[in-house]
Amino acid sequence: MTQDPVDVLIIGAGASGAAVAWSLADTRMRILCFEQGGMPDQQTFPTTGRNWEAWRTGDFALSPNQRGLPEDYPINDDASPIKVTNFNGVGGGTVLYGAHFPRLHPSDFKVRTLDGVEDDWPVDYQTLAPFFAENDRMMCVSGLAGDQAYPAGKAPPMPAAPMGRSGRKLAEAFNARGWHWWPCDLAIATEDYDGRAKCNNLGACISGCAQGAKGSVDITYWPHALRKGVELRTQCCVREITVDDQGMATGVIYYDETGKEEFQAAHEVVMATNGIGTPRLLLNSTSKQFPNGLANSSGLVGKNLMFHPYASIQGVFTEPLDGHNGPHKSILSQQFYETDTSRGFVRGYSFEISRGMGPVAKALTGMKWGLVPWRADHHSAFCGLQDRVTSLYAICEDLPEEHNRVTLDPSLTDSNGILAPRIEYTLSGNSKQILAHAIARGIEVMEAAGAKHIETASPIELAGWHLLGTARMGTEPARSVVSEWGRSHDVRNLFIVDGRIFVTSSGASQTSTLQALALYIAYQMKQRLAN
Amino acid sequence: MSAQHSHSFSDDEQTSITAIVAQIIIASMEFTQPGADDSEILNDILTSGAALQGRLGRALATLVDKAVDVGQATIFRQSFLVEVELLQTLTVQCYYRDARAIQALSIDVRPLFPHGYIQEPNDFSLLEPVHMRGEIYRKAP
Ligand SMILES: Cc1cc2nc3c(=O)[nH]c(=O)nc-3n(C[C@H](O)[C@H](O)[C@H](O)COP(=O)(O)OP(=O)(O)OC[C@H]3O[C@@H](n4cnc5c(N)ncnc54)[C@H](O)[C@@H]3O)c2cc1C
Ligand code: SF4
Repeated sequence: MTQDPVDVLIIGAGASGAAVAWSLADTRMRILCFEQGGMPDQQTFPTTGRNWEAWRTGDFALSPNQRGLPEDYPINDDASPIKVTNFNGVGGGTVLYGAHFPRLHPSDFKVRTLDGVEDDWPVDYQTLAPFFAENDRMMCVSGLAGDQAYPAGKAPPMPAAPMGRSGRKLAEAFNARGWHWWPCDLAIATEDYDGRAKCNNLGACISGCAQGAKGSVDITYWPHALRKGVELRTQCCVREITVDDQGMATGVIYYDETGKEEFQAAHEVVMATNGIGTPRLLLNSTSKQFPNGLANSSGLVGKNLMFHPYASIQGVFTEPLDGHNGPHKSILSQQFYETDTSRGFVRGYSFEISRGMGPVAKALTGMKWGLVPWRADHHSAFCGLQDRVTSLYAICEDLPEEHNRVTLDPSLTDSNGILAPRIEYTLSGNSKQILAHAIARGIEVMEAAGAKHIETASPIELAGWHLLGTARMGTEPARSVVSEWGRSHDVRNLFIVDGRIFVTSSGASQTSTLQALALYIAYQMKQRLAN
Repeated sequence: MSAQHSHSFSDDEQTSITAIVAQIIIASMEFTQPGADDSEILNDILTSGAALQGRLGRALATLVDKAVDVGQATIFRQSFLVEVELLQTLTVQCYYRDARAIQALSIDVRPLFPHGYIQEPNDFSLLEPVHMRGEIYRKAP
């Protein structure tokens, strides 16, 4: 195995790493990516078997602690009401994600100017607009142009996925309340495209799409990046980033697929290891020059962890709706997205409508709600729920707070003996108010839709899939970890391209924006470094 | 090969599990559904739940030599919340993958992939009121 220095070493082959690898491959630079997990095999995804729902509690569980595979570093999240979910392998979180693909709004980049909170981002919506469009094409986004919640110009390249009966039912309820709704933008192919078959409504997007319709980056960006000459090495887990006496990154120490410790030299290092993996790796990379962790002169590495706290408002209806068939998300509402201080909080949230559930989830949920009893009435009660449950999820903006943070656990380690992360997180008063508002409005929607029974919960515990802010971007080195183009203020040849650089979280799923930002950073690197 | 012998539960524990899963999902003539104590489903429960033996043993021991009726099942549920949740999840997972149970619900007995499902086409005339209300995003300076 060659140890010659590469021009760019990318760590992590998930959503952001794949986008950067593909974009940088336009240059003549030698690009290598290390990924701690393997290449997913669609033939082994749960929906290829009748037992698909039970597999979700095994190797396809959302929580790395539950999966416990060799590539899954454990996470001590005991001190957080929201537990982390992820996927460690080529594709990263996109292998299991719901592929809901909204963009952030223009106002999300100007939170201080507009709302007097936190900091404005050092980039804005307009700057990212061409990269949003490029990413929509690569990820094959379906949806409907003309959404009144966004500036003109957002035109998904594929037709919208079917809203289904549940989407229609709730759309009518939003209309009855006079509130915004729109078909979801989804990174799901609704027409055959790029050698991939269109969505055929398997309805199990978050256990991996065996059909290959869902845009996970192992089947969108990676095949193109590999064809352009990027080298991808799987089962290579990076332990630390090394530096020279001048404080420049020299490469990484990693464990290869046999568990052997190796060194790989690199001229530029790009981190794309997600909100927990990135601070973990930086904090594990201590040296004489950086005793408190790499790129951490601001002391902000690992701090300002933001989730999107979720509330669920679930309704039981008398008539049959969709069951689980079809992409999870059908429509969204951004009626309460923008700040309106008369509501008693700043910032806001989106409602996402999720179809139904498979039989196992339905029976267990019915039991939890006390609607499906043991013994005699089990079957009639189950039939009363079959295809009749649908859900509104409120995805709420979480503002950054330094005490919400990722540190290293003093004793917990992964399969290579590398220290594992520990999370401390509490919900802020503002987030609690947003959640309460969302539940009250969500109940109104469910009632208007005619739900005969409504259940609510918040925050949803196993919903820590959006991990933001732990290495924020900014122009001031004392208040941020990386610059406006992702370059570390401290280590001039170290870049962070994943969602950790988000300044604030917004009230919408982030992958579209995270990848647009990654493409923007790659573009900047090409302009400034490649030649 | 039958999975009959690949579980680790003792005879007493098997008897307790049989009794309790029969309380969770009972057979029904009306719905043409087997009970969770049907031999095939039970075998699946015992086999798939083998790894849980250590976590369930103490709770199951309290049912030995008892007639598990509704009252006994209620006491068991109130006394062993964690164990009951494990047993309930295991039972439901095994039950709702049994071909007969699935068929009785008029669900096709097949994996979701490759055939998938058909969905009705969209009708965007519903968006008329949303269009009428106009833009709702805030302009950023
Ligand atoms: C169940 C679920 C549902 C989701 N649904 C949605 C949704 O509907 N919409 C949406 O926008 N987002 C969704 N997300 C979030 C989305 O998946 C993430 O935003 C996205 O994947 C983040 O991209 P990333 O590049 O930052 O990290 P990831 O995609 O997670 O990639 C990071 C990669 O780095 C690797 N890595 C980490 N540490 C190391 C190391 N030391 N050495 C080598 N490799 C390493 C990991 O193995 C991983 O593959 C969901 C996530 C989950 C888990
Ligand atoms: S609904 Fe579509 S995208 Fe989701 S798993 Fe099924 S085929 Fe894939």
